[in-house]
Amino acid sequence: MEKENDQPEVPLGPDGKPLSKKALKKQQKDAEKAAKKAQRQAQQAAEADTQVTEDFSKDRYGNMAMLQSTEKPDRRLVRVEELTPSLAGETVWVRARMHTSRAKGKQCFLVLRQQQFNVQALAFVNDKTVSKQMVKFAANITKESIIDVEGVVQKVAQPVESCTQRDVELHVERVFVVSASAPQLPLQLDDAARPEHDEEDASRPRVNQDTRLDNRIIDLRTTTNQAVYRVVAGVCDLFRATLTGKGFVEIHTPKIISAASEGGANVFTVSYFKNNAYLAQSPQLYKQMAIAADFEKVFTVGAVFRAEDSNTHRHLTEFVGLDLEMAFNYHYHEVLDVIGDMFVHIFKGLRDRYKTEINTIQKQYPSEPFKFLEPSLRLEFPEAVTMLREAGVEIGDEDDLSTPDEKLLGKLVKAKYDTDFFILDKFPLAVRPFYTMPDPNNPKYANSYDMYMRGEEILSGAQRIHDPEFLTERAKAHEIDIEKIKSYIDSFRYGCPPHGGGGIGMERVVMLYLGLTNIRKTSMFPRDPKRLTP
Amino acid sequence: MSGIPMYKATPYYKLDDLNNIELPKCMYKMKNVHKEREDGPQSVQRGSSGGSQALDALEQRQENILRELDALQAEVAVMMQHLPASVKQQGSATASGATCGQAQLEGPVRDIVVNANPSSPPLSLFILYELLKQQFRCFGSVHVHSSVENVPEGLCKCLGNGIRSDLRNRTDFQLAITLIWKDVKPSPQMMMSAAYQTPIHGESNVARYLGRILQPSYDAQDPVTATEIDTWVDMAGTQVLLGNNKERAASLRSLNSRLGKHDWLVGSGLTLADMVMWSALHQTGQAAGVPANVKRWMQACNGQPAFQSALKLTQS
Repeated sequence: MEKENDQPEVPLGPDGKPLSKKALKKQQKDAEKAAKKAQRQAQQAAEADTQVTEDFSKDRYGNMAMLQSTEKPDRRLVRVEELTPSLAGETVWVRARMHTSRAKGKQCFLVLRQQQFNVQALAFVNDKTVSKQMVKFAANITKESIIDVEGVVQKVAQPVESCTQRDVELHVERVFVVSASAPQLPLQLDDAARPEHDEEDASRPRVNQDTRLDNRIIDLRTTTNQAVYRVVAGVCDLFRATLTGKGFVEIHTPKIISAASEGGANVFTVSYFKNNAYLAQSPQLYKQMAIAADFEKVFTVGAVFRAEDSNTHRHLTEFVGLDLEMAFNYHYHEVLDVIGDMFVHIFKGLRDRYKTEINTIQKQYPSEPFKFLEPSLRLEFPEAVTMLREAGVEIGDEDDLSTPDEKLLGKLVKAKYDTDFFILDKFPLAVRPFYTMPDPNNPKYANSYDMYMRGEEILSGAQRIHDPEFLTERAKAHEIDIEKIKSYIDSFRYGCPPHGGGGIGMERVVMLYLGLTNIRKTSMFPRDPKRLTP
Repeated sequence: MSGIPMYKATPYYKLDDLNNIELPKCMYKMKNVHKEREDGPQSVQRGSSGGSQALDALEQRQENILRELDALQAEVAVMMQHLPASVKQQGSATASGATCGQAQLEGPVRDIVVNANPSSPPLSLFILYELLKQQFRCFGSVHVHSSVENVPEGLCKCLGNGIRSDLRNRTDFQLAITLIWKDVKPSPQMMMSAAYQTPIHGESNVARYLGRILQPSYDAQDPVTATEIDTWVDMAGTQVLLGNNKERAASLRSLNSRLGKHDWLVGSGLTLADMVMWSALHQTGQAAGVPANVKRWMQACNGQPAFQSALKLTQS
């Protein structure tokens, strides 16, 4: 039989005896603590549960399936270039490269880059559109991946100094990876785009030329390189436009030829079925043939192959030659006028239409702006010799100009006339090729000219001999085997107008215009004696 | 040595007796290394007059050389008589080319580069160019520098078309004026030879250089006239071209008073002063509102043949 207990049960301690008051209190406290802890854990578990299940922006981010052209969404992608304060408040889609991403707690700063332009984008956690998982995903996208971002364009209070679009930023609402990049990059784009002589960042790494050329695809993505190759395209475009406007016809000459054209020894040999053939050193012969074929004014843009084992800052084994040849009426100065005018057009076009690109390039490779005169300055060889002698150089009346002489002459002309481009006319006959027409008034000189930019030669040209008998005579005087050039002389046997012309190297012209130091910077995939890839 | 009595000391060494030193006989005898010859004292006492054969030979050579030099000088004098007059004066010319008063200019074409701002063309340059054309074979060419855009057509052809329509080469001319329209401030610049000089600033200085190339040079007359010309040229350069309104008014007043009593600024004919002052007044736009005497003088200038091409520029 159990007595009715009026008192509450007295808990027993571990030794079986009833607990004292203090011990009782302690036990109660422990129990309370345990209860609270259990409660909190249960709450957290519940929360976590809700979080994992409540990723409310799950369909606003992720890796897109490989784009196999499955759909045609009605969506307009805005260029980063167009993101300006005028679009503030609008929601836009942008496809760009992930340049950098930096996570900071509940926010993630991204820089999106598209060719020459970049813009800052911001993904921050909010209740409706962006979840924590999404921000984490954005922060973990590898650099250089191509991503599609939908966001709202917002004005910023303080301009973003590090981006070209300084007055706006994109508030991200959706982000998808179109093409992911491998996480380990062979070179960092920021290093590749860093100015060479910036004192603030003097200790930061730069990428040297060989590394750049070995990983050309990534090196070409820098904003500077995007701008450089647009300028190269501009030179080509202006060359074509100016000459076509003057009535020239574009022709295309063969590059596989049977005999070395200029008589020089530096040609590449290719095996041509059962024989050997050569890669053309210059389109000279074919330009002249086109003139003899009554095309009157021709130009050609094509590859030129020179097998010179020169490892210098201005030689390539393969480069693009912009050549022109023109029949004239009475005096070869008509040709000189056309060439001088063409150069002025090219320089003016670059100065006026490619300002953005030139400014971008100047940030990484600063240089003096290019100056020129209109009409082009034309000096004569005896004047140049006098100028060099005044400056202390010993040079004979009929000596060719050596490279240091040319550089010094460039400096003297710059100091006197303040121009980086000039034409030097009436070279001595002795130093020109055999097909150059001699000066009628002075047999020591020739109707031949060179053109210089920043003290380096970019064009060599002349009036060509169009009479086959005289040509044979001159070839004999130069001790050239007539048999080897028989087909060349034969092209003039059936009537040929007097003509002259010249050719320039596209990469060299751009290099000198922008004041760059190495021609490999203006050739997308350069070829030199030591480089055959990429 | 009179006057103060001093202790007298007898000379320790009797130098006259050097040769009469008695040598002790008990020692080995050695040849005296100080004597030139074995003759002993006699050779020394004969002195230096023709004493050594080497000296004789030296004198002879000197006389030969002097004779040859005389002969050469005579030859050169004879040759000089056959050469044109200009070469005789070249002896004093300095290499920098700032020569005075020659009808011939040596070397290939001397190219004078003038950089000027198209907004204020240096008119005296054109006046002097006309005068230079009468004395030398010269041509002018005009270029536009890449630092300026949109230069009016008239300014691009103001010195003629260069050698473009000429059959001769550049080097067949004596003098070339290359005018480059450029963004130069505040005054035109001139360059002759990059190896020797820094740019020369100011239209008045350019005018002075060209004035000195002309024959006769503008400062070849007496110093007083030359200084008067220089004063007016200076006034044109500083007070009219670059001065403020007060200075311009003051120079107009002095012009007026001078021209009240004379027809020309200096002397009785056209001088460099007239050309530069005329140019300065036109460039600063004051040609219209000038006092009566100055107006009369300007009309006289306009009538001069050398001023015609510059006048055309002011009217365009």
